[in-house]
Amino acid sequence: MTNEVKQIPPLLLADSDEQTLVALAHLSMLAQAANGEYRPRPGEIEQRQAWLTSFIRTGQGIVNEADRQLARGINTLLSTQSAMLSTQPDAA
Amino acid sequence: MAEVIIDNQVSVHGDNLGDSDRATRGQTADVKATLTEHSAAPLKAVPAEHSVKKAPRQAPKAQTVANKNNVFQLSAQRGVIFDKGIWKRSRRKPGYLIRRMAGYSIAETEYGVSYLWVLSRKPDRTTADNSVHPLAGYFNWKALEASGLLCKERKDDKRGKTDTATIAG
Repeated sequence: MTNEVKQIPPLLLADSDEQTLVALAHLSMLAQAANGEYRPRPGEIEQRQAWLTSFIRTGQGIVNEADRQLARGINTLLSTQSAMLSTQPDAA
Repeated sequence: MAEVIIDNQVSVHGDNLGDSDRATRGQTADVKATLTEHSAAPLKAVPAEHSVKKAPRQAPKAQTVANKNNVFQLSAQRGVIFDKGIWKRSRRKPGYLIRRMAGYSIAETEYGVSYLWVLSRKPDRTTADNSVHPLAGYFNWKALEASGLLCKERKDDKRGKTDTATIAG
């Protein structure tokens, strides 16, 4: 039996949908902010996060209040989990 | 192929007729005389020492000319560097192209680009509200490049068209 390696063709970003490109740009901005390479304005991270939430959910980057709430909810959940992990003695 | 018999001992083939090292002293004149008898007109212009070795290389030279033509064609194709409907030359970052988006205006700053939804023209009225216009927003240069919204413009071939040696190489 031969091991067939499936080769994935390289993604050409220039051919992608405009919204996908914008989503990647938002993601890059968030990553830069997390790495300390970019200092965001107050509330900017939440805006970008809401945009990405909307895009993932609906395929459209039209931000509404539900997306903002969901983004806030995710942040709350993540911060709670993070706090729980940090209180455990074995947590790294 | 011409064959010359010298003193009934050595046979010199036509390919080596121009090589004077093959003939001993006093025999060169005979060889050259034979050469003039058998050599074709194109060989007369080339020095006798190299004429035999250079002859087979004539065919590859003809191919090189064809290749040069191909290079010119490719350069011409690359001359159409970008579609102006899709890309815009950056004013802040020369040599880079910014992706256009239909209905949005591109506002460049030192740090990046803002995509603004155009409300009206003359005077330009724009908005950055992305709750209605999904592609509106600000991105710095790094994010633009990472996402594919910014790309480097392919330069025209700097090699001059007269510099054929460089193009062939």
